Amino acid sequence: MSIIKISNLTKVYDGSANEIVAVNNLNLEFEKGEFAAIVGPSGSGKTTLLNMIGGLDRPTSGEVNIDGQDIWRLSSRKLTDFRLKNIGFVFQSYNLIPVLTAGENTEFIMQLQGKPRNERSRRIKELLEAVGIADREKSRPNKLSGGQQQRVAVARALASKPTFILADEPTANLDSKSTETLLEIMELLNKTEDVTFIFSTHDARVVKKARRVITLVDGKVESDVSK
Amino acid sequence: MKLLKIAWRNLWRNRKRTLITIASVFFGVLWAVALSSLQTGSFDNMVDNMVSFTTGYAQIQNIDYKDNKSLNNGFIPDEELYNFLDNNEFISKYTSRLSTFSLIATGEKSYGTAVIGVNFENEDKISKLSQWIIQGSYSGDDPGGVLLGELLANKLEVNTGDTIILIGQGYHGVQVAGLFAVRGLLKFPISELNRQILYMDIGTAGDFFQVPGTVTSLILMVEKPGTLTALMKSLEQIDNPEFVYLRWEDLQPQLVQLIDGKTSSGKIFIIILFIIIAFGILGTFIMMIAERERELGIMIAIGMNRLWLSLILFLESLLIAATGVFFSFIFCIPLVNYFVRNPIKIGGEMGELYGEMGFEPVLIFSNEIHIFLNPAISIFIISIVIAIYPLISVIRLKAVNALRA
Ligand SMILES: Nc1ncnc2c1ncn2[C@@H]1O[C@H](COP(=O)(O)OP(=O)(O)O)[C@@H](O)[C@H]1O
Ligand SMILES: [Mg+2]
Repeated sequence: MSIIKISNLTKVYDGSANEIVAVNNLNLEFEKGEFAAIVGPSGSGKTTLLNMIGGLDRPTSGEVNIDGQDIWRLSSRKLTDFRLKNIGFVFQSYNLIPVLTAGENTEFIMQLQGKPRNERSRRIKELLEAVGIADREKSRPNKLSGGQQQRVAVARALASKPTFILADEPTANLDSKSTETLLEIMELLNKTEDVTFIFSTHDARVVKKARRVITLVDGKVESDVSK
Repeated sequence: MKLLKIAWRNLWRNRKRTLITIASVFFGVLWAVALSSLQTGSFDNMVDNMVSFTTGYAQIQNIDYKDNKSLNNGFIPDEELYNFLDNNEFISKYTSRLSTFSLIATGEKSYGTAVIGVNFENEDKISKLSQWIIQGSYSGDDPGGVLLGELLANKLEVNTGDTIILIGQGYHGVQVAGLFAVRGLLKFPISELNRQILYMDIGTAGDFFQVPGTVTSLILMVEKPGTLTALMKSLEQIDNPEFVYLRWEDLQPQLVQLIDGKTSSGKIFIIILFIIIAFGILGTFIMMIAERERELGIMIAIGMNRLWLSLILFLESLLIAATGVFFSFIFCIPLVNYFVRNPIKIGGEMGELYGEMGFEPVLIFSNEIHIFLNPAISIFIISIVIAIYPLISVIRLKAVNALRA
């Protein structure tokens, strides 16, 4: 059964001179447990698509159904709450709240969800161990490397036990070693936590790890290959 | 709660800027407290000087006296009233006066003058009348002796020991006349008084004007100006429809006007000061939010309620205010209390000028609670109003744009 069903999704930006069709009448479905990459050249609409799935950018037309709910019919407040409960986010860089430590950044989202303290601290340990930086729990983001920061971001995204995680070019600013580590961690968590990962990239090494590769060109799906 | 922790840590991300902003609050409050402490202190002192010298803090009068200051509108206080005044916890001192007008004459000259019957002993405790004696003696054995204003004596060409004639109207217009010996001369700092004032014993005056035992007003003093309202309230227990109870503000509207005028110029200064501080804090916030746009976008994206986010920014504004006020108080409260106990003496010409006007040549401070509370409350209101800016910014913030930035 699909957890995400995108129908006729279109996003048109009003440029001053011309209209830009960033996402063009797109139809896609994602199953539970997928590990899918969205690839394509810069400007092909990857970020726009992920933002519309993630409830951050309102589509010009079309639907994003998550667990049977058209999320763009929710009020802005309900949508925020929906994101908090169902979607984990990993952005390209500077994901973390600078004044909070690695542990606190992971905990933060659970506090927003109102999880009890003991559950939170257990989960922080578990997640930071899983992403391999348990020893840096008390460090603030500026004391962590780019790769470590992205791993905390993954831990934070998972902390809320979301249905799926959207990661927009999570490795774009990382060296190849960190990229590999992060991908391995994501792959592992995809299995152990049974969480769906949808990530965009234009890095060939990342694409290789994906079990499904969706290629976008000019806001349209050019190919959709599952291994 | 986590929000407070985040707010507090955010403040110290740009330590220098935050310290400068806190310092502006610190100095603003300090300045406002110092100014209003000095102002309140000197006004209280001025009022104390003025009312002691003239009307007292409060008076009891016959209800008709207010509109028609005639002897006919005096009253005779009974034992019960005196007992009440003696036992009233708010009254520090009181005395009685009988005020009227009369013609004063020697051989060929005559002038109009105010005649004030007083209890010399009690009067001196309140108005320190004896300090103005420049010739003769303040009190004496002769109940018929009078004190004259210096200029009046000059005009009449009389000195201590000479005799003057008073011709006036007594009770219900009856003509009265009598001879009195000049016991001493007074020189007040206000020449208008020197020209037309005469003091005599209130008993003598009552007999002379054929209103024995009568007073036109009872002058009441309080230890602290702050207790005056409580005193006025307690006077209602006297429950005599013949009486009216007046505060110094009723009796000396010019003094109220003078103080109001001065206070409002001080207030304008403080308001301008606070507006400058307000813009300083606002500037800090505008920069803070501009720098943190991406971070705010991420918080909204991952599911943080915008109201909570605004609350963080609101707390930051409040914390700046609270920290500034806190350190200001730590500094001001002991300082003001020190100056309340040790007024600053004014030396030189300025001091002499004060002395000549009949004021003590000192800068007097006050430590009344409102002096500290008012600037603190103003700062908190400012910080709340300023927090509207981040509130609006956060509500308007588009997470997508912030993330793409
Ligand atoms: N806010 C915007 N206003 C106008 N055009 C935009 C905006 N955001 C993105 N675009 C345009 O939409 C297209 C898709 O952009 P994007 O989704 O960022 O692509 P990608 O992530 O694949 O690089 C691009 O042509 C980009 O210039
Ligand atoms: Mg992109």
